[in-house]
Amino acid sequence: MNPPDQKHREQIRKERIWFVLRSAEWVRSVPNKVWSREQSAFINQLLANRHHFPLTREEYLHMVETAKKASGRRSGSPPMPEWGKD
Amino acid sequence: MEIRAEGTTLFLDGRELSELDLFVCRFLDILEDHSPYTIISGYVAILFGRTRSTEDIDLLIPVCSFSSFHALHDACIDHGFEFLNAEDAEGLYSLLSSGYGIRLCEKDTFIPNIEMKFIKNDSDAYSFEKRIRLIIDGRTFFISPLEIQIAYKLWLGSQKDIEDAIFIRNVCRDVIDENLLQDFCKSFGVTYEPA
Repeated sequence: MNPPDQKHREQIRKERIWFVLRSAEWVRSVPNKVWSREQSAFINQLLANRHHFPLTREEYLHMVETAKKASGRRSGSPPMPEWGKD
Repeated sequence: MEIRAEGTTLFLDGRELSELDLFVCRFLDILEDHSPYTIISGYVAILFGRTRSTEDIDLLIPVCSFSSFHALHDACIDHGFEFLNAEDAEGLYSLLSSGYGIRLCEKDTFIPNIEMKFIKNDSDAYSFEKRIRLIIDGRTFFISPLEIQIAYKLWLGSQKDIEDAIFIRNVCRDVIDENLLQDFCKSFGVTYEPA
């Protein structure tokens, strides 16, 4: 299977950000009890099957490290504002 | 969302706690007897309502002596936590001292887990020294200031980090110091562009 081309990736990125903005506005618009109940149900559902995770600890740690490298995330520390340097 | 600010304390009244939040609380109950801390990264966005889960909760603690760490290590074991890294207390302390994170989970399941690191640079130190007390229905979570958290996540640059930054920036805009955020963004060389 071919990975999505750059144009398609950009489209997906914009759609995801659109969703994040919509989601933030929804959270702002309802009482804490409402958004947190929805969030809690979602997270609890995801965690419900955690005992069946099919990797060993070593495999899991390896997977986490591999995913970190593949994420394109920077590592290290950015330069702090002058007033923040102690 | 109702966020109430009193000085450097934020309140999220009426927010329901998920299984993930309760896991974090169980760990913080142990940690607080041994060390101060600050929560950073994705879990901060989740505390404020981001609809995603996370396998790991990142937190920073100040550098401590081996004996202090050993006491924390033993308390974790006594309370049903274990370390994912295949190391004893000495090996774990060595990892922390070398700048690596160590992971803790509850027995028999390693999701979710806590990734704990020593403070090692200026941005870590700021996140700790200026930490915010977030109170959710009587439970306290110390979190990194939102302004540095947003700029730092933009600087990290992965899709997930950028989305978290945009979420926090928008949902918490009433309690964010815009000038401070811009200071961090400028210093980190990032710009805030929501779309």
